[in-house]
Amino acid sequence: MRRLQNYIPLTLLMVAALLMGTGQTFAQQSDYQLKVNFENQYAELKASVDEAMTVKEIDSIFVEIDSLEAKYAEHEQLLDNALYPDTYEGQVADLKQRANNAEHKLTIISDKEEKVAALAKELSSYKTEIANLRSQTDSLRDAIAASENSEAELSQLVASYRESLEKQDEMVLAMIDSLFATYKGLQSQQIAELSEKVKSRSLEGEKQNPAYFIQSVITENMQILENDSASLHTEDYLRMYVVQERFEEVWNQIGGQIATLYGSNQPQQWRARINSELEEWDHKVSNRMWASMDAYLEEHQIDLGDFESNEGFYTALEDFVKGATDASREKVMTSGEYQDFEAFYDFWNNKIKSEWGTYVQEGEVLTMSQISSIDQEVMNWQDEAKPRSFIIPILFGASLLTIIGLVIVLARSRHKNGSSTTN
Amino acid sequence: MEDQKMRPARYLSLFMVTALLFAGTACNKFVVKNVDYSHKIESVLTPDETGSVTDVRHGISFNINPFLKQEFGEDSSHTVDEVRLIRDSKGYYFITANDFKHVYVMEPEKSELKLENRIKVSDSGLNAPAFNMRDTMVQLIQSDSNTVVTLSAKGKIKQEEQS
Repeated sequence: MRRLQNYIPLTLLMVAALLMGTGQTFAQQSDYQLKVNFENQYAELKASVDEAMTVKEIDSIFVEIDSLEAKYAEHEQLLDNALYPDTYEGQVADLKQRANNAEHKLTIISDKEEKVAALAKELSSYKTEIANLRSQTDSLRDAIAASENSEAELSQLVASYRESLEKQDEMVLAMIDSLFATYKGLQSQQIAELSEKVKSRSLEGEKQNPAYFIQSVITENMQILENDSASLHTEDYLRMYVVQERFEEVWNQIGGQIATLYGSNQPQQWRARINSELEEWDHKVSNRMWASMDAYLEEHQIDLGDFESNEGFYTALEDFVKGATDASREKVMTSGEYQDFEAFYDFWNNKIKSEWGTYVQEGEVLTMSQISSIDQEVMNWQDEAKPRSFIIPILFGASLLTIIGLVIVLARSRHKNGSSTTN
Repeated sequence: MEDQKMRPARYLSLFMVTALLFAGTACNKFVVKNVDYSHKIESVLTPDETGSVTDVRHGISFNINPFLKQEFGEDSSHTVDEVRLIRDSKGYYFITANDFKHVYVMEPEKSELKLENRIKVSDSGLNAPAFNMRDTMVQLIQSDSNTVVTLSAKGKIKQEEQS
């Protein structure tokens, strides 16, 4: 009996809970309130989708959308009426589509974000390596300047110095390619979203910031051009010219994105500053490259005249070859004058087309069609420039004269014989 | 004899006139039956500073002030934040609001709503009332008292307490 008494409160509690539960089940809710609740939850989910920053967040939103769908499925007809001209199914489908789009977009952003993070590390290591090379080239340059060693040792120092600069340029080109691969094709909305993530990753510092990297590369290259003049060859300047061209090309394509992402609060100023520095670098490296080319030609006694640009260089080459071809056509060439052709032919084939060929093409110093055109002109010149031998004409003339002499002698002897017979 | 001959003609004309009258009346009384006016869900309308409410979806606009005067007296300055409105299948509008003790059943007329019935639903004034449409019947839900009152234009049909 006592046991039974112990169970009574528990039983009552269970009955009360059951009744409350049943009551909740039966309590009728306002249809309007149900519609408002749906609209509120829908709006919250829509906002969550729009504000989601990661694919993981979107995944959890998908679960919430499924739960919303399950919760309101039994009220579909009511909601169709309440949401007219929209429908319940249409709204849920729209929300799912929105979440799908966001997921797709965030996947791209996430991929880009990973690339940006990897690039930041890469930049950091490149900067360290470039700094080491820079210090090595500085030491070599100082050693060359202060050298009192033998010519052979000095030549070795210069070779090492040039090699070091070449490595530096290779690294810069590799880095530029990485930058291009990371930032190309970014849409403005993706940039805005990536920008938030970049800021949160604290890439504002100089070491991992591509904008600072680009600016430092430009400054360092301009310093090299200002400081080094005696030790570098035309080939070095051609390579530097190619680096500048590639740098400018990539900057023109991704500069806007990089300035927006890393230019703090002044992207326009950053872009303008780098544009201006690139222009200055272009001016300096072009001048040095053309001056070096001119000096080389002068040294090899090839007088192309003045040129300061790609187009000017092509025109000078074309005029020179055509002029020389015409001159060869007008007068009989001797083997001494043929040496002029050979000097140019050596410059054209062994330097422009072979040794410097890669840089000439990459830097578009000459285009392929320009090279083909000059090639054709050079072949014409070669035909005209070959020194001719006079032995054959002389022999021919002598033979002709001998034949004529013989004919005259023969004719005379016949005439003599004729007159003696008559007598 | 002649008078007897005239009678059928008179009857004929009388019949013709009557037939024409019936035909004319029939034309004027063109009626479509079984029209369902019901709203599937109530409208919750917010009065502007002049007391006007507009239900854009169902295309009705009226002033709530006459209802407030009816409900709270001519001199009262009582206002309401929301007005709840639903229409039944017969076309009557059911209107109420917070603190109202009644549901007003209004019949639409030309440019006016005419009171059809004033149904008392609370002694102390409603708290968060709501209308639902269930099986062509209007229901008033009083969530504070968990009461559901089924209404028609004539008055209360059924009142259920929900636990």
